[in-house]
Amino acid sequence: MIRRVQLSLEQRLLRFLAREERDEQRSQRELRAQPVEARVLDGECIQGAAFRGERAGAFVFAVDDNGSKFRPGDPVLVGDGIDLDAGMPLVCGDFDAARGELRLERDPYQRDAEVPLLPGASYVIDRRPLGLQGRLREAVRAAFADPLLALVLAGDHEPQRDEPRHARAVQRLAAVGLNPAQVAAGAAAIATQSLALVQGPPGTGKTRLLAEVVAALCGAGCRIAVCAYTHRAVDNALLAIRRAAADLPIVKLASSSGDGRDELRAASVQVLDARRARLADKGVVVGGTCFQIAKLHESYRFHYAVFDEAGQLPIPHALPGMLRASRWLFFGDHHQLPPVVTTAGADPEAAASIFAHLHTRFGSHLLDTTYRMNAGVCEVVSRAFYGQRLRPAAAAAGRRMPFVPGGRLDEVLDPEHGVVWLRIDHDQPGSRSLEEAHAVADLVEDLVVRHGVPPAEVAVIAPFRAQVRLLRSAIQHKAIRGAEAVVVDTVERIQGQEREVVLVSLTAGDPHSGRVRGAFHLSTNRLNVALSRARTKAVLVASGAAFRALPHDPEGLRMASCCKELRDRLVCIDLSRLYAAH
Amino acid sequence: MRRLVGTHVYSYVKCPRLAALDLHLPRSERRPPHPWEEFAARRGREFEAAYVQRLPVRVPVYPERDFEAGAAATLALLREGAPWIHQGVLASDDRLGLPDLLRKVPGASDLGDHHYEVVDVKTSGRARADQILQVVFYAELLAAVQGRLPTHGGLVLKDGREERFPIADFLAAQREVVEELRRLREDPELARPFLQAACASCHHDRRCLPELQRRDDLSLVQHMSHGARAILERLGCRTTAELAAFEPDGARARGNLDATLLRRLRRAAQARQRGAPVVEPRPRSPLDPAAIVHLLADPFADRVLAFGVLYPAREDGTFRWAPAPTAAAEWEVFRALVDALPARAALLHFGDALPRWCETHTFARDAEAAIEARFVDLGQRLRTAAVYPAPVFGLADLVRTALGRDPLRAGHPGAAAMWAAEPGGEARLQAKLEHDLRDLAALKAAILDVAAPAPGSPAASLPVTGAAGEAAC
Repeated sequence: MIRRVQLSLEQRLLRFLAREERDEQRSQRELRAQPVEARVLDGECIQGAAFRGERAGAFVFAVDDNGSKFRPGDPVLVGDGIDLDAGMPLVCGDFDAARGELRLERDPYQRDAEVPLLPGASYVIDRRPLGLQGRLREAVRAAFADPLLALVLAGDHEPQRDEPRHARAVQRLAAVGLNPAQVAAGAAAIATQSLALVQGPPGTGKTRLLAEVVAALCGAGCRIAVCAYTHRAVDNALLAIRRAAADLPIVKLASSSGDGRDELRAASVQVLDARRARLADKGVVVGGTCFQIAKLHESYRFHYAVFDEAGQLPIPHALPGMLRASRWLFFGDHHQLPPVVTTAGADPEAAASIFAHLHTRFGSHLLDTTYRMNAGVCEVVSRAFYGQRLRPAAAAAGRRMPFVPGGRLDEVLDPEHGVVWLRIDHDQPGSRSLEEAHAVADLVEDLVVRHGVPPAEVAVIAPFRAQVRLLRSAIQHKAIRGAEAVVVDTVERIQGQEREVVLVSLTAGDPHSGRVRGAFHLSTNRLNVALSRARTKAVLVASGAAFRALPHDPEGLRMASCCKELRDRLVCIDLSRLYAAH
Repeated sequence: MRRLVGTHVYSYVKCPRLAALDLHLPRSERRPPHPWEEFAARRGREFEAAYVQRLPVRVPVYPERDFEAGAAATLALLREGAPWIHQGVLASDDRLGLPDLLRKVPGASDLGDHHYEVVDVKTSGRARADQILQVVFYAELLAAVQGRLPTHGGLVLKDGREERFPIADFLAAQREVVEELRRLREDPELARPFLQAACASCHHDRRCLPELQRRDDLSLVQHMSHGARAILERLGCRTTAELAAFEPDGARARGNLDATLLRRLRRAAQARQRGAPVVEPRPRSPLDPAAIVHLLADPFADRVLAFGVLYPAREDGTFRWAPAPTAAAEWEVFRALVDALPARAALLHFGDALPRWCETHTFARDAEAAIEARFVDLGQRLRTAAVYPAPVFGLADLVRTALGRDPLRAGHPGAAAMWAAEPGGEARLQAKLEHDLRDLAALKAAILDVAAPAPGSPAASLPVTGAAGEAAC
């Protein structure tokens, strides 16, 4: 007998949340049961960190080889790596690759904890688990108890629009200089009686359109909630709204001090604690993560909930915000970064973003003109990731990076080719490649020193944090003036930014490891974001082996196949031939 | 020149070496299938026959193994516009395809105002990459016959549901695989053997595994990857014996390999030389009180056949077991076994079969999910708690390598469905569960319950008996 349990979307979401919570707890528990070296190889531990002393309130450690995934702000434990209960709770600070120094700080929530570190002694630094999950399960249950929301989530809903409002919106948006696709998408958002989706590929003015739409609705007296997955995305949206409307009352909900608060205040954005906030009855914009919006008094409701970066927002995370409003506007792009999911093999429908979920049911308005990428970069990105529906704006199409011929890397940096593949064959397993790091450092040197590209206009991107560290170190060793302004980070950290030139280090050199683990480095969403940060030039630094991965799961295989197509279309320059010729 | 067939694509995704040997060796060189493999294959054929029986299929008629005649007969049916064609033949100079089904769909082609797409019948629960690539392989052959590439392909899964996918999404991957197969057809030595989990069930195991042993191949070392092996070999380190003594100085001398990874590989090679696992220092993580829970399943029918419990989690613990007569009874059977245990006892299990099964039931029945919080995967703990003298993929490898016992002395777990269909099969299920549970308890005692050495002190090396170090070989 063949049995198949059919679960409703509500059940699938609840199951997904429970699995996420359980897997996060389990992976922490299992990680803490592993030997130190296994944790080091997972990037969850640093071994042999010698305590140098306390400096400016920070605890400084000498770390020769930092392959960890730790980021500033991550909670860590310092101890012998064996008795984790006796470890000292600290918070990760900055890592100075040139000096091989890692700074740890006191945990603001555990200021009384003793830190008896001995100068010169060697320590093991481990990740410390955080508390997880909020009220998402309640939000899922409440959402499916709401008749309209339940229909929308199931796709059994026919969105209607207010025609007179639509006509007025078209006039208003055209008057502020938006392009036809933006006007059509914005008017549809303003006129909808329930929901609208706007897909904004890189550089197409999605956040500006969001700001114009919010300004129009708020100007008409509506209460608007602006939600996103991260505070940073909320802040970006609120600042864009301020630029679009100088006199709108804007409130940011935040319960603790955070980055960017000064910038918000300078833009006359009021920062309030959600539980104590007293908000106006009409004509107000309230920004916050969905958790912050949910903390407002239960009687406070919005006319619209507007979601930015909705392609990264998991369905359950969108629901607290959706429950507070009766109309929902989603701005995002499901071809860029997806939500972060802990569970391996998670139910794809439940793990999708709210944007991807609703896009498959209701479609979306595509913003089709990029103001960022020149013709060469746009052509590659548009063909590989957007079915050739994306085109460059006239002002951007002909842009070229500065170029002074005569260098050994001219063939790679030739501005006539928007995106090139610098092939450097290696077999490195894992998440670090010194070969690629050296090649990228050479490219950065050439770009800055020979061609005069400002260091702040160069971004270096890698899929793995360990490779990011290696790249930073290789660039620092070049001693290029101003090189600290070069952005070196993972795709996740660089989304939303743009640079004149982007160098992408794919890192992976063992196609077989991708069969089992899935080819993370060949995620088309990540590659799309990485390449599309470039205005005029993108260089993909990769081993031929990186593209040969054949993941076992269908979605991984689809992405790997897409990357093979992309590879076949790129101009390929073999680094060994290039260096041999010089 | 031997033609490439769909099975080669399927094999290549599993292991390039398998595809190379399939291309070059006659069938008689393969290990004959085990009885349970034949049992599974028979059920697959029966499933396909039952599925096809419901369709108005036409079957091309041609002399046995005369594939040119088969292709001509198939072309005639394609032109005729038969709604479904079963076991059609698609052939080119160097490729041959025998898709399960060809389905007529609207849309102009060289055949007229219709064309065909490929549908394969599988007995798996979800679509896999190798199955998709096989369908795309057939679709390309079909394109040559009908003058257009079908937009979609389909896989009928074991619950009768059809999963459709766009052919274009996978075309580049399929073409790369075909190119690789052509290279392997020219030179099979391009694909060298590499010890992996699938070797244990491969029909060429009797050829590859002795070859690996003879060469003292680096893939016989735990944690080895293809990339690391390639780098080490380029550095002149070609055997596990050489790796055990390999201590290069500096990044260049180690081929830029991660220093921690290399240290780990070297220790694994040393464990291989010693022929015994080495317990690693690790954080304290007590697992008592605990029970070990295990199950035997019938993957084809997607159901559990029997559960077993050992409490306390020691080799001399009390063994209890219960068969699940029907799928509907599984949950009650499991709960009855678990409810008899202390409420807070950790439930140790091996691999993800039990949590996956439990997860479906806790939601489908709205039962309390707290039971899942008690699960601890012994497999993951065991694999990381020690360095083993050979790669340890599954329970059988661990039992053989760390305990020196024959893990299959009570039979192969893949045979459970076959036993259940035989008279007296319950006794075999019971015996298999009990052996596995007591092996797991012995592994826990030998690897996890050993006091972890203090940092800096020499790691504990375990005495073993039997043929340790010969995992999967």
